[in-house]
Formats: sequence, structure tokens, C-alpha cells
Amino acid sequence: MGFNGDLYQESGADVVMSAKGDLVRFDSERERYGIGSAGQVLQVASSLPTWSTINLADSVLTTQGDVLYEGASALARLGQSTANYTLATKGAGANPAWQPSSTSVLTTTGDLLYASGANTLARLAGGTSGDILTANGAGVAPSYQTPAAGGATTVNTSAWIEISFTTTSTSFVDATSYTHTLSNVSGGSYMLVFSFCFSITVSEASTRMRAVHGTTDLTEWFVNSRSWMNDQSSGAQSWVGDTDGSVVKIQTKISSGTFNLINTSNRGEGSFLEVS
Amino acid sequence: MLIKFEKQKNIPQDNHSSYANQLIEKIENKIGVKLQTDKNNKTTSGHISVAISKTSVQVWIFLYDSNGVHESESDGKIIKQNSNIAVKFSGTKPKKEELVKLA
Repeated sequence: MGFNGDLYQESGADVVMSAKGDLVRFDSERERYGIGSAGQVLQVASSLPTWSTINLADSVLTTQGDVLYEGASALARLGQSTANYTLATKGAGANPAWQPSSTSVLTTTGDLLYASGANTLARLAGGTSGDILTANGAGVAPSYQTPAAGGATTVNTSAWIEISFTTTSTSFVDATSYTHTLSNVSGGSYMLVFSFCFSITVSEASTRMRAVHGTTDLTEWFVNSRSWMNDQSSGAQSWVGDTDGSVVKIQTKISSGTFNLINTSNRGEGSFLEVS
Repeated sequence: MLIKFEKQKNIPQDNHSSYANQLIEKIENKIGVKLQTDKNNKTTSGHISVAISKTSVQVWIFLYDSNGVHESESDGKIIKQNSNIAVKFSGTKPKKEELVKLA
């Protein structure tokens, strides 16, 4: 008994296999099954051997930095993205994706992070020196703003000229020239600051000096020694209303003897400061 | 009663107090009455105020017209205040020109 190498008795292999790489398979009869594509593997499909492409990681990923994930029906590639982006899930039924991170959004020293929308990072660059971070209301991005002028603002001053005043009056009299005309008497109340450098001498102790606005006694100083405030600075402040006219005066009196008031404002002091 | 005058003078600031005190004393001597209170005189028939600037001397001499009424000037108006120290000036009204010479 001889064998010619043909496994197929009814029709020879040379009949079924006609091209390089052909295989013979049997469905309802013996048939030729041509070679598959490069890289394909023989897999059973529909009860027949079938050339199939298998998505292995190495065949999906093509570039350094690629990430492998499961797509809708097969492995899929997520190519590398912008530096410092982070990988974020997009929820069930969706593919992951790269998205900006806090690290990628913040680029400069002093940057702040805020949301420019739902789940969206944004960068607020550093403001100008002295600016303050300001809320601009719900749904609006914050911003740096130049702060409004705060605290006290000097709106008017009266620098007293160098005049000395002496009196023997036992009731208050105007110390001539020591006055201040308010710049705004209808603007409600505001602060008046007295800053001065007086030299006061009295022949008898116990006398008084005061600042008055109309009939309102703003502040009063008691002189209780014969040489009081000898060339020293002093000051006071008082809220001034708008009902007593526009002039504020310094007045003096003495219980006995003489009262000498010397304004040493030539040293750069001696004034009313009107503050709003 | 107010006698008021101004005289051009240039008095160094360091001398303002002594000048004013001396002027007050000279005016009091001229009028013949102290226009200030002290340990011995608890009432006064007037007062004197002196304002000295770099260029002039202003003087106010008040001689009270009534008992119990203090007089002063504010914004060009005579202000009268009740005072148990003030007594009516009963002397002779001095001449303004003579007082100006004292300054």
C-alpha cells in the first residue's frame, strides 16, 4: 500500500489548495480557505476556522504615552495629551479623556484657581500690588480690584498763621484767627481733627481753652499749671454735625490774670484737619 | 463798651507774651483800673485781649456796661454773656488815641 502524500482522497490537495498559504477546511464539503492577513490568527467562528484580527495591547498602542482602554466594542487607544493634563473618567458608557488639571491651569507664581463654569478650572492671574480679591456675585468670576479709598480722607485744612493771643477775659472769647471754615456743612457728620503746637502760659493756674462749633462745645482743654503745653504738640478730634454753621473756633478764658497762647505752627504744626 | 485798634508792629514771636502782658499793664495803668481778676479782686469791670501777628498788634479793650454782663466780640458782633464776675465800668472812658500810643 502506497501514499502519495495527498490526504484528500476524493479530490486531491492540489485541487483544493491553489495558492500559497491556502488551507483546506470542511464545511459541507471540502473547501479551500485562503491565507489571512498578516498578524491574523486562526480562530473558530460560526463553527469554522476563521482568520481573525485579535486586538492585543501591542497592536492598539502605537505611540509613547498612549493609554489603553476598552471602547464600545474593543480595546482602544487614548493618545498622550498636553503636559500636566490628568486622565478623567467620563462616567458609564463613555470613554475616558484627558482634561486640564490644577497643575496645567496654574502657570505663574501668584495664580489662583477658580471655576469658570461647572467642573471647569480657570486661572486668575495675580493682581496689581495692593489689589484685593473681590467677589463679583454668584455665577461671576472673582477678580482683583483696586480697593476703594478707605479710612479717613482729609478734605480741608486750616493751617493757622503765626498769631499769638492774650486775654484777661473770664468768659470764653474767640482766640482771633484760630478758626476753621468747614467745607461741607450739609453733608452730615464728619470728623474734625485738631492738631497743633501751642505754647500756653497763664499767670494763674486753672483756665480753659476750647473748640466750639456754633453753640456746640467740641472739646475743651483744662490748663492747670502756669506753663501748660509749653511748645508741645497736642490734638483732639470730634464729630461735627451740620447744624451749627460752618465755622469752628478756638476760644479761651482764664479764671484770673492773663492767658497767653502762642501758636508755634511755624514748626509745621497747628491746624484743623477736616476729615470725611 | 469796646475800644478796638490795630497797630503795625513787628514783634519776634519769642517776645509775644511779654509784649502782650506789658501792654495790658500799661493800658490798665492808663485807665486806672485792673481789667482782670486776681487774688484780691474777684470781679472785674472789663478785659483786654491782644493778638499779635508778624506784622501787627490788635487790641480789644472791653469796659463792661452792666453788672453781671460780660462782653466780647465774635465775627464783628458784640456778644453778651451773663457773668457774676463782670461789674459795670464806672471810670472815665479813655481816649482811643492815647491807648494806641501805648502799643
